[in-house]
Amino acid sequence: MNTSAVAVMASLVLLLPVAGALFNALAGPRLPRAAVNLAGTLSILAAFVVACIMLAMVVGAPAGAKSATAHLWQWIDLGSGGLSVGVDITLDPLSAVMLMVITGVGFLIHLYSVGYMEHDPGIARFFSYMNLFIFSMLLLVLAGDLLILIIGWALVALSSYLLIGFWYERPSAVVAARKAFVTQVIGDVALVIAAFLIVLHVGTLSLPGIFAASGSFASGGLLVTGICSLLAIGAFAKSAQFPLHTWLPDAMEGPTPVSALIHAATMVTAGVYLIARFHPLFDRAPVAQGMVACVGIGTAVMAGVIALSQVDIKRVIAYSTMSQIGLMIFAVGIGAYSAAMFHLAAHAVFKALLFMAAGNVIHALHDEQDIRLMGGLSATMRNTERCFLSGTFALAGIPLFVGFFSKEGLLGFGLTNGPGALPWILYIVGLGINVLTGLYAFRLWATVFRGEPQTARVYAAHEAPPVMLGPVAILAALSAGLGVVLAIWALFIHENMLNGVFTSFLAPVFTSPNSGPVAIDLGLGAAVLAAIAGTLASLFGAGMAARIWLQRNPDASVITARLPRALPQLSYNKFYFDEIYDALLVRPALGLATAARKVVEPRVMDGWVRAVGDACSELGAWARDYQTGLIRDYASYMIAAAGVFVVLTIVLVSR
Amino acid sequence: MINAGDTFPFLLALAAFLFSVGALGVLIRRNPIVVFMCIELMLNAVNIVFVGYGRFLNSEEGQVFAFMVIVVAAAEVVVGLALITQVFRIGRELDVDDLDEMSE
Repeated sequence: MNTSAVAVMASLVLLLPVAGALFNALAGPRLPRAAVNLAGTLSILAAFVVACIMLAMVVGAPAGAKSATAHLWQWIDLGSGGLSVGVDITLDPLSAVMLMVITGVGFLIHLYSVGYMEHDPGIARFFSYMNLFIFSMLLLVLAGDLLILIIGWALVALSSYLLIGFWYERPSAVVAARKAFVTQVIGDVALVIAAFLIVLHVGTLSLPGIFAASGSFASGGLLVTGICSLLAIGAFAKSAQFPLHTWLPDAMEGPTPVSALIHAATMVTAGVYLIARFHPLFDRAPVAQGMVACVGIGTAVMAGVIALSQVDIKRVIAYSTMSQIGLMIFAVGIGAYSAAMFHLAAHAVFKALLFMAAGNVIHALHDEQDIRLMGGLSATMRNTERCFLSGTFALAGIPLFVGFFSKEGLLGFGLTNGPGALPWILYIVGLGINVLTGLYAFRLWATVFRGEPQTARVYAAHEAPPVMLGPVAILAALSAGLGVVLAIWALFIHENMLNGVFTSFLAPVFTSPNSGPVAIDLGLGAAVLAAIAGTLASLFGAGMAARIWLQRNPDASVITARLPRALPQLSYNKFYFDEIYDALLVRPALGLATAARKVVEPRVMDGWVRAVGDACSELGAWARDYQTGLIRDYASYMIAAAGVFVVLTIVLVSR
Repeated sequence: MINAGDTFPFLLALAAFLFSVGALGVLIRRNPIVVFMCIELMLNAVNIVFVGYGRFLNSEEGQVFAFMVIVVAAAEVVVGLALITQVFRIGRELDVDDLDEMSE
């Protein structure tokens, strides 16, 4: 690829959202609503068009030249042998996939926001933040230098903070925003330390430079394991993985389009991108990889269990997001990078869809989010329900929907990679996750749209306007059709139909000469068997959900009564993580602060500060007595001083 | 011809006497014009010392300094007399003890 063309295109795709953000921040509040909406959405549409051209550039590039790094300008240069940081842009198949997800899904969500935020007075601020987020995310995925990546990484946390706290009059939103930001900063710190370690060893922060030097890391050595563990901690904080996951459900305080864009489709998957991007290092650190895989699958199970008992429609979807990202993290942990990226893209489509359909419901019920007060909405919101079902089917991995291809491919991949019996154990856990996913996905649909209406508001609900229904419908069509299209395409160019298109497209990234052993593809027979087993598990979960929540036979409460009593309690209270962190971290910190306020400040700090102040004022009071305003007094002081001076001189000279 | 060294101590004594008279006048008189004249007296006592030392040490620098002092004194008189005139114009009594607002 021509690097100057890459530089021009990348600058365009980065500057368009910045222009939108600046325009709405500076001029938006004084302009009519239509102009604000137009600026906010058109800037992302234009970025999407540029991103499509960039994708075409990658597809059209000859094999072996799929990756290009453009050098925009030199930022830091500490001379020969010192650190040198350039503002570099890397365009390769991996960043191209992310570009499409960010700008494509991002544009649809911006369009949807026009309807969802129709009555909000802060619309200019909203679009300004949203465009800023798109810019930050694009910077993150296009960065050709670790320092630039970290800047994008921190900027998405900032925009996430601003958007979670968008309704700043609500104390809960402000607290949630702060919690999200603080948690992400933990990840930022880990990432920065990893960058320091990399500089110490390799001497450069440029991503191609790091990967070219990855061979110099001792395979399985302490250094590379430490770097990868730190990178993984950064990824866990960003992607809401155990133990840094508690911010994501609280982040649902933000407006629903924000949840769809940042906390489902793009930002929370940045951790997956980071690990996939740094695969040459992770391939050399099996211990870190194993840790990542275990955390991923553990979070997937935990979040799935929690999602079963939550009653807030957005929190259910948030926990399902956490669970699905757990699967992606698991996949990058076992080296199935292409499968993880495929699931990332598919998940962006169907999870944004689910969030926006849920937004339609919340909008129609005037900000009601408790699913126990919904029910029977299919009568009034037929189109929204159809779209929601498309997302639910994809989430549960029902065959022919896009989630089926991505998730079964991802789980099947685990079968062929890993030591001893571990793949089989992980696969069985994966089947369990399929059952859980089917259960909570269909529980949500059944309680919201089916059954008897639980409140009078449901009867007054009306279908969403076209500007909100349109983006949802487009995503619903993608969610239903994208997998089939890719599978048919894959059948002609690649024998493995599960994730063939993604695997062959991303292969140049993940099979560079310096990367470690590539995960082994499944054979066609094993793939089909894995797909059948996974589908049966999903269908089993979906069927159980239908029996419990659709037909109410048996009643849901009978089921929970039969389980060990601790399990529903743990699930409903989210395994008490918030309470544990509160007791372990928040309360000691608050206690320390209170002690400092009550003891250290008045006794220690104030003591000497006050003493200095008192001494000054006493000195002043003493000096004030000598300022009489009488010239003769001043003259006599002068003459007295002169007399003293004369006497002193005589004494000193005569000595 | 009287030797310069013989009269020099008397010159210093005269200067000391004039300076003391001036300083005393500044301290005890209340009329600003008189205080002013006393200040002039002190300056001229210093001038005598400068000129006397100049002759005693056979150097022109003493006379140069005396001229300097005369010029500065002239400038000072201009400012001081202007102030006194203004104080008189706004109807205040000419009494240095009365002009103590700046101490507040």
